[in-house]
Amino acid sequence: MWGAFAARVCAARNDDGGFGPRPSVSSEPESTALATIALDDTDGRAWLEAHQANDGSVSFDAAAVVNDASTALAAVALGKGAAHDRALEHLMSSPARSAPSTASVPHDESVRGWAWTEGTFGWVEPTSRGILALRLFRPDAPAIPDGVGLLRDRESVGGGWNYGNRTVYDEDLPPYAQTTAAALIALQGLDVELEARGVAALRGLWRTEREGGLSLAQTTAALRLHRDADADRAQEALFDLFDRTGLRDDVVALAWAAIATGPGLARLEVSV
Amino acid sequence: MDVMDRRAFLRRSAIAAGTVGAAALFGEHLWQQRGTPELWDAAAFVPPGTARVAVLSATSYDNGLEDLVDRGLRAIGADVGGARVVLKPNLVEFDAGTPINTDPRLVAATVIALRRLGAVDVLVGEGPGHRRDTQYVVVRSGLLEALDAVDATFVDLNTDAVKRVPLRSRYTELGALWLPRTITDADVVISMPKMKTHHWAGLTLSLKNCFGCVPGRIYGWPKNALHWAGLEQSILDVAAAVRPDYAIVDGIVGMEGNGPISGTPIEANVLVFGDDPVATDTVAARLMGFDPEKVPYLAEAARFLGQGDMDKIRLEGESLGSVTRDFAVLPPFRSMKP
Repeated sequence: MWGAFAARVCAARNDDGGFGPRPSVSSEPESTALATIALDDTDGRAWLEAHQANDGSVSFDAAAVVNDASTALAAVALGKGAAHDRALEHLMSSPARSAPSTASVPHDESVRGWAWTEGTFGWVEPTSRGILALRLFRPDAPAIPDGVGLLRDRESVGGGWNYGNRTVYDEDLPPYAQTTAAALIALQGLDVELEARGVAALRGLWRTEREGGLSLAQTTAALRLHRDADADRAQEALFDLFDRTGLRDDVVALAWAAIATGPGLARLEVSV
Repeated sequence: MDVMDRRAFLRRSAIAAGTVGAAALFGEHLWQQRGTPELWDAAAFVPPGTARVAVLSATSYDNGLEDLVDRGLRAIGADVGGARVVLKPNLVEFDAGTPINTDPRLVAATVIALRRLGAVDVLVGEGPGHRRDTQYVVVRSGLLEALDAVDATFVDLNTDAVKRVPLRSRYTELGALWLPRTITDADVVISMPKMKTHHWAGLTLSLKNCFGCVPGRIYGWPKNALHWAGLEQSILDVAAAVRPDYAIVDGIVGMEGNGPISGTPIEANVLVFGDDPVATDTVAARLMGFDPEKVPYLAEAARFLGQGDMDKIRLEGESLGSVTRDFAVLPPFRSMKP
């Protein structure tokens, strides 16, 4: 089935060698980085290098808003080399701002993690990407424990993660499969208890969220990396959904599906 | 206020907005402090004239909804003949049994009604703000099934092709927004919010609903860059960029309390149609027991984006008093009530 996912990703390639979030949409950093990891793709790497900014980021520059959250994925996709090193340097020099703790949204102000857009607060998915890239290539980076601290702080009550708020106005916010999987892909042996709660939560979450392609694809990747037997069942659900829907041509979901079921997963595996 | 003071205020406001999201909790607002006539391009925003709003009683999502929507659209003179129309419902999250989203049956009924009125193409687009797995939300909410039943297409605005749209208002310092082509290329955009309270902005209606047009893949989840830029300021700039042509508020079952996600259902039994989103939100706010003039972003929107003067809003349908409900709000927003 990896071949089917890979073929769909390949079919979405643009003439410039990169990939957009959907077929025929202009190439962007996130979809190109994930497709490159999935396919071990030379053209994708060339696109990422060509679109790397002077500061090492591979960003979507929307003027006042610069989304550099794909730089960590680009660092993984680029493999070894100068562009890869510069992406990692950017990652280590651009943590999120500290989020002030308030009565309505209490946070640990001492941790920062990574943000979606430059100069803003840290959230679960970009922080997970940052942790993963540094663990793979800069395992002693002090930003890693900071990122893990953010994941500990934002963990939903009972385990797992949503986009990044544990409680709002004393209301416990539930975890999602997709973001829980993203955090687990990053953690891989960093905090046994935190991960055990996350995996337990994910085993339940993916079953109720099995109509989501991105959720199932990242769940399969996370459970595989955690050597959890439930990975096979999540993968079966992913295959079934793909057969029925083609994952709605979402290139990010397709690339994650290809990563989860193919050789790309080894590129995300941390030696512990 | 000089430039440095203004920037300091903006930063302060943004910091609060990013976490507590509560620019509204400040007793004063950026635009009041700035007091400058340059918050919007006068040439881009024609002073609003008389607006039309229709308030129709509706107690069920199951019976005769297409006819009711047809009636509402005709009452406000909706002109969609030959048009490519995009419906923008509120589909931010899914939780079984909680009325977070615009009801899919209303969206499907609106597709049918618009076709009756001569629309040549009707798409439904949304970029969910909390969950980035749109496929999950659109299926579990029942929207995809409802659209399949009327042969309508859903577009994920979080992954759509984008176009840079320079802002003609300047409540934030964003300068421009990258908006989905599905929105920018449409002939007619209809904002279809759920009637809800909102724990950062007080209430969320057709103006706030425009946040779903801003792609998460660029601005993050939960559209955090907009919160960072100032929530209320962003509501104004995003709505001014999207500029919905019409609004249809789903108040058959609304949400009160800790909305927009964790509140409780309230049967308001009403649909609100308008040819001006500001006027529509002004009327809907009254129906929720708010004083629109005490909702800062709404009062500000009435200065340039649409009509907020009840004397200049031509009302059709029910008298407001007969269908007004007192939506419960969190304590910081009680000041928005009369």
